[in-house]
Amino acid sequence: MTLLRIEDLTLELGGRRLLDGVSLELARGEVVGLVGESGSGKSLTGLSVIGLTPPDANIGGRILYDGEDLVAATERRRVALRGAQIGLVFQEPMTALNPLMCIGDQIAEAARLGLAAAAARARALSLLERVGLAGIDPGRYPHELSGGQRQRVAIAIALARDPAILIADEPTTALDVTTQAVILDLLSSLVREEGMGLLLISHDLAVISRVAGRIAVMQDGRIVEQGASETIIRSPAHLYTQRLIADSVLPAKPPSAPNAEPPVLEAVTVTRRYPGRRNWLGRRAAGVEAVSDVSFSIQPGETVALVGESGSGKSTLVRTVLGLDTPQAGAVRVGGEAFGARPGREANTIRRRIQVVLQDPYSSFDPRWTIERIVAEPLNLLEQQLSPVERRAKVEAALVQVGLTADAADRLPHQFSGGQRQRIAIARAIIVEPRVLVMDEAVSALDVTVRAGILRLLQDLTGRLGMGCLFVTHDMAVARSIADRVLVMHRGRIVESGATAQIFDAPMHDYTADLIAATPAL
Amino acid sequence: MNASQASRSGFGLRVGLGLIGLVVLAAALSLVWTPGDWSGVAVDQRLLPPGWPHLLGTDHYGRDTLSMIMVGARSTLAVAVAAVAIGLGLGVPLGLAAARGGWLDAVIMRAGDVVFAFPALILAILITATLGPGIQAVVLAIGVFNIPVFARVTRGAALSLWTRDFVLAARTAGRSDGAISWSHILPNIAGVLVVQATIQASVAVIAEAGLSYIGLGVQPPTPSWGRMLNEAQTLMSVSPQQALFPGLAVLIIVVGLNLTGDGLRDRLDPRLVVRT
Repeated sequence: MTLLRIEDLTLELGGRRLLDGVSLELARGEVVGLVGESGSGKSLTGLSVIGLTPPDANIGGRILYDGEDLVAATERRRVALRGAQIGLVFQEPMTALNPLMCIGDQIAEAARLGLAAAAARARALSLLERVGLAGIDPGRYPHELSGGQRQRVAIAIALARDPAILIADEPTTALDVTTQAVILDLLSSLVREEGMGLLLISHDLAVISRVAGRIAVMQDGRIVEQGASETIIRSPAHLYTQRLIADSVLPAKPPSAPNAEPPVLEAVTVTRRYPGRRNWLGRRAAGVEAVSDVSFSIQPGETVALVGESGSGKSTLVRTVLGLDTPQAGAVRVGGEAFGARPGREANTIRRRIQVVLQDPYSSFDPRWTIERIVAEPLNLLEQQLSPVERRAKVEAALVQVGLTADAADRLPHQFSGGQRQRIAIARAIIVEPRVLVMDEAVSALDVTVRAGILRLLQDLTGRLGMGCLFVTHDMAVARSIADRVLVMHRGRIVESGATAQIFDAPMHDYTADLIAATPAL
Repeated sequence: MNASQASRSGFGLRVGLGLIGLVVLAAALSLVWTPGDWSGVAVDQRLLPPGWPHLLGTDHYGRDTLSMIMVGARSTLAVAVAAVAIGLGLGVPLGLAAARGGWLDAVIMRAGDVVFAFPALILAILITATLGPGIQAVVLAIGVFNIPVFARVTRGAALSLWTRDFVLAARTAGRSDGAISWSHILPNIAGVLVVQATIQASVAVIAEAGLSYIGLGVQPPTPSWGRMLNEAQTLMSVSPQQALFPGLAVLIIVVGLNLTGDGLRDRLDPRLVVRT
């Protein structure tokens, strides 16, 4: 039975057509996946259904829920439907919840309309149980919960009034992969047992294919292809879908011959503790050991993936390796030399050998600087200062190496797309010809088609320049496609390390096996 | 911000800049020409109402009120500019240093607290008592209070920038803290500082008028808006316009500065600090 039928939906905002003839159906007990890259209009489609589009948007077409056209409905009517008939789960559970309100009250608030206070509280308890948080005290606050627990609370809020339709917009994107698997299972069991219709919006085809019965692929405001999941994945008809699938399935990297050259990066029993706060008597609380006794090395031309979930100590290890943080014990050697105790001018000869590309392509650049100035900044590490003409030549050469044109140097960061910005970040890193390149979640924020291009570029560069690469990622599939060796980090320790094929085919540690099992695959 | 808000703040900005321009023009003109005599005593011209040739009338010595306001604008503007310059010149470097944390941060911020804790007027009296009354003492007294204001604003804005990735990238590029503060942090907080400067300038105008009013500011015979108000007080029943016109002059420059500050904030602030 059809719950929701979207017919020829169009949306224009500021003269631009952002949705163009979107048609979609959702039935009771069905999960429809809406997949697309950033800017494809998938979130806008979800927001149109719930009536939360920007106020000056111009909407056409029909959204039929239970025979009623939601596009033509009054705001009053939409408010009545929101929550009661159509529930919404957002991407970021921390910002979707009120930090000053305990979770029980937040769920009860959503359930409250039409219920007495006591009944709403009872409903909140049963909802907590329903989303698998039976043992959790409803008096706890969002910051006391893990990311996965918070997303469960957000789902409980969406379920509070028994909606017929649930719209989940990237509900697992902010979560670790093991948590993601559990939340996806929860959502699909809710659909099965309560007979709801779920519209699951995601950029990740693998996530969608795991739970959705039908998939609609969006590009530039249009649905280019829709059909049963199996059909879409196995025999995509549209060119864009084919490309999306090809770029989502990353080929495993062929095993490389071990080389006996001296390592370019060595970490020897590195330990980094953060001291606890002092109490009012001046005594310190127990600290946190973010990185414990970590040792590894990287050969020239070799890519080593460091995988782990949030809080595993990856970021602290990266800071230590980059010489931005000093370990309490152990040492980091780049090209055979260790960072001194005091970071300063004398550290620059070592710093020059290791450069980094960061995750967020939008905040990695000073918005007021030209690309030339940005890319040239590390040249400051060289011993002899270059003339403006030499600098310019180096910048242009680096930009060309990462697949951009030399005239990019004169533009500003906001004139580039996310993928182009990551190329600029790589250009900035390689301009001083480092021995080691650290990629800190550098492809995590990118669309899959863009990601594939960056990974190819990286493979090409490490091979050509003979750099070692420490590739930090939470994504096992990416690690498998790029790395010669893998280090698995868990609670500050490296629990397993080995050649990529060995890690994936025969993981020794339970945690590694869990990570691999939880990674959605097509 | 939608289109109508944008045009409204643009309008306010233009009006604000216009009002400031008016006062600056009047002060500049007074250096070469004034409509009447602002320093000599003319007993036969005492307390004339607004009219011709004294457009805004005369005071109890027979001096031309408009001319006095024009000349007074010079010291008002000089004090505002100098006091803000002291605050910017010392407060911003201190704030940038404090944003790096550590003991220096604690020392700078606690020193700022001490200045804030002092009653401003008492300190101003103390300074004038040591230096003797005059424009230098007024500039110093107001300027000292601007230092911690700018230090705090700078520190707050800089702290959030130091967590950004492009600063991390600059650090891996081997730039020193000082170099990063100068080339990355300062340009990105410039908008906030400009806005704060207009606010502090309007505070300085009022403070200068206040100090002159109690006789600690610019000394006679140089006219000042604050002292004109003071002298007008005893003549309120005879010649109320004596208080009206210098009061209006203070109002014009303060409103002008505030409109400019608001307009600039709407135009600069959200893009600089919130958006990447």
